[in-house]
Amino acid sequence: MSKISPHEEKMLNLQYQMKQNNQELQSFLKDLESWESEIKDKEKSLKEKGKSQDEILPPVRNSLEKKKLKKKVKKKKGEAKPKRISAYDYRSWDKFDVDKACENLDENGPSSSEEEYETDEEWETERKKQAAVLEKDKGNEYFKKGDYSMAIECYTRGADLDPTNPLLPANRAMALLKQDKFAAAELDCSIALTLDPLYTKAYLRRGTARLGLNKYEEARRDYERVLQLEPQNKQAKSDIELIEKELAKQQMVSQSTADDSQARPSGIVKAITKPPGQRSQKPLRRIEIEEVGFEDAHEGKAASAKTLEGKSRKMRDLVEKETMDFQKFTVNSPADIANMASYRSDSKGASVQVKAETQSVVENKWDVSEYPETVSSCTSNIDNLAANTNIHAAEKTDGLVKDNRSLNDVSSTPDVSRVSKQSSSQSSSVPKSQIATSVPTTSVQFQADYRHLKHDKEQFYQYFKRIPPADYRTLFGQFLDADVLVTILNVLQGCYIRDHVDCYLCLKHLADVNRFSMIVMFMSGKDTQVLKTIFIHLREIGEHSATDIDTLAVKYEVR
Amino acid sequence: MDKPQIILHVQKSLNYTIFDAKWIPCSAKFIVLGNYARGTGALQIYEVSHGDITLVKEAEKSKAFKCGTFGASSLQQRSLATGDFEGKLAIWNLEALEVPIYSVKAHSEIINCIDGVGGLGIGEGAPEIVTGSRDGSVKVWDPRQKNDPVATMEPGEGETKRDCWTVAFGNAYTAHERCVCAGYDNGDIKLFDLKTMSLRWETNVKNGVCHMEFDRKDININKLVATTLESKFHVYDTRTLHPTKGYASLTEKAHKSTIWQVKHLPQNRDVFMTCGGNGTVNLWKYNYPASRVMQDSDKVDMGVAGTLQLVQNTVLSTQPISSFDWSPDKEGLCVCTSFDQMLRVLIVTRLKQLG
Repeated sequence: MSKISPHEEKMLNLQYQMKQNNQELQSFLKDLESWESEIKDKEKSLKEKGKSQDEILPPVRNSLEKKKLKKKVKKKKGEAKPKRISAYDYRSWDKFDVDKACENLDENGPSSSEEEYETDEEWETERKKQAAVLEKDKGNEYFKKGDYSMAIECYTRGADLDPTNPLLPANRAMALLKQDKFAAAELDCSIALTLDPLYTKAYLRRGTARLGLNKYEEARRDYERVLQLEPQNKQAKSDIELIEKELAKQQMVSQSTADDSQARPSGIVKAITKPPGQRSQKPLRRIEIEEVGFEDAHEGKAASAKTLEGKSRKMRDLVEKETMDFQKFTVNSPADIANMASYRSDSKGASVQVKAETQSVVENKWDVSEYPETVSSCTSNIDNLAANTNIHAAEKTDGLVKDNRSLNDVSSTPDVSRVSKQSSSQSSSVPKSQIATSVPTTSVQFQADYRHLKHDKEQFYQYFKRIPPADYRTLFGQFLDADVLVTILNVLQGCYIRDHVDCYLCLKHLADVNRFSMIVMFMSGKDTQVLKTIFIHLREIGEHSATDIDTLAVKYEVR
Repeated sequence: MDKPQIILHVQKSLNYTIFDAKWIPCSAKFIVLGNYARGTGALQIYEVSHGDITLVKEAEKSKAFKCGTFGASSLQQRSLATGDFEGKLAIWNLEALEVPIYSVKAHSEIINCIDGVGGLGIGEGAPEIVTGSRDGSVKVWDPRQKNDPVATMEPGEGETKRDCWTVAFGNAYTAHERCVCAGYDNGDIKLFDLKTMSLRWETNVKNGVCHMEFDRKDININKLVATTLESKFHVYDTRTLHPTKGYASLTEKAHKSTIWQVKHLPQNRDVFMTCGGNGTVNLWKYNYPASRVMQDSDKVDMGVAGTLQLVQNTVLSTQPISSFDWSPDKEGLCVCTSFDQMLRVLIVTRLKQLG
């Protein structure tokens, strides 16, 4: 019966309110719980629904006049955008749009909108992919110029555009390898491999990167994978051997660190570098390369692997790079001379580098040449690489033992496979006499043979004699230059006359070769003298009528 | 008596500075963006389940994240657009966070703010993202166009570049109508009309504008709230633009410090939350006046501002509340972050009764 005081009433109210609040919260939490499962189901169904619910989107704003869109903030009056009909006020425009949209919807149904979306999406990805390819090409250009950081940037941009293209990370890995950033290169290769698990070159490069990081076991696994994919891959083979050597060496080092300086395997000679003043003054000798038997080559390779250890990585890089260039090369139609011409100018940048590399090897040649067996093994090793990586490497070997200058010429010739085969076989050992017994059928072949034979008049005579004069036109088609012609004329004068062989037909067909008159025009006095001797001889023999000889003499500009 | 209550549901301490948190639409999950002490960017996805939050996924990126939005993504894809400290705009597929699906060097300096429209079924027209940066420019991006913005708003040659702190989309009620509002550190507020590519309205509120939001993005612009450095915020009635007086507005003091954020309740556009530098959150209700339009002495229409009612306030932290987000799917569920590296999930009850 006691009266409730205002204070008590307040307390009761507060209690009631708290209870109320608590109930409210409890119900909310319960609600939340059920909502959580509800929304999960909703999300699931949303994911399963696919893209079908997307509708046609308006075009990208200002896409028609991107250049003009830069508008200054402070400018009060901006130009109205042309893509809309300004004559309408937006309300009527809006109404009109809705009606039309409804009509369209009724007519076409939802499937058309899906189609629209699909093509739009496809177009977008296609555009990105193309942009990525452009970036890749740009990167390759930089790579060829030796600007690796720029190349990396290009590849990165490309990879951003098209994260599905394994070529981009793989090429970037190559550039990173060049900069000795092995860890990054390894990562890139891994990315490339997740995109394309059968990408042999990515395995190769990752192997190289891991080798650089001294992760021998992992590197070996990569190379073994390469061999699974490409059982003929010489680089993988040689690198596995190198790794095995390295691992063995590590074991040896751990066993006895004291006598490791004595424990150098026999047959291995380190290249000696001396300052120019102390170098031998003897002239460089040309060394005939003997073909070494397969087993020997195998042994020699193991030995030379060590000699080349310092060089090998750089060399491999180079080889790989060239393979890359080569890929591009093969994309062009080999018959397309115009393409070739452009490629020739492209390839110069790269070949200069190769030349530099070769020259550094040649510089060491004197020291090495005192140990012929090393050189031969070394060569055979390089040759292995060469056979593996095609023409450029083959030329490199060629350049090492013979003539660096051949590089540009051959790399731009159409008959690539043939040259690579031939020059690599020559470089390994084939004696010149073997060349001398063959008859060239293509200008490339002739060109290659000519390079080796031009200093040996007798050999060249034997060789030249076997070429049917009627073939001259095709053989010399693109290549007849003053140098070749003079050599031929010298041979005619020196050997044909000596052996009393008739050279009228030779001269006659030579005169039919393209650009012949041009070359004759620029012949030196000495060469004209040679020609005169030949013609005097021709007249003396008298096998051909004087008029025939005279017309020929006119072509040769000999009176 | 039946005031809404703001209740702390879950809180979690994180090991990085948190700048932004956003609900993933149509889910009980939200993303958190921030900056690790080593300067890298943090992106985490949490899920609310059974009275707790669990980490679903996380990624660390090279640059610190400042802000993010789902506004331009379709509801099906729900890809997150982020702005980072280096001025890069990126769009991420939350299923595969390794590589962004879109990336562009949007600004030369930090992207302070980002907003999106045209996705999630909110706003008509093309999906677009707007970014504001310390470099003084505001740029509009279309995820379908690589490398270049579709519109740029920047100070003219020779003019001082102001730090842009906030951007907001609005007026996207047809496929062509669209506005962007930008707030700057000197108190400038500029409203750009993207349809006519012109400046529609500008004003200065004397203090740096920390955050702005339209009550809705997908209607004819109705109300705009702008919060400032020194404990004031302004509510503009943006329905009626007077040629000389501009929009009618009211100013309110709150939090006794910087007001970092304002967020309208997705389920009721007249209710919004403000977050203060002193760690408090205030819930407000805007009441319209009897007539929103009146005529001045020259018979020109001018707007009339309404009134504000502080519905509830709570102290959550001693540090500024850096971000706040209402769940678009569950009324009253919200997430907020503060500079004491705390992540909080809040529950606001009885919002329905605010009417």
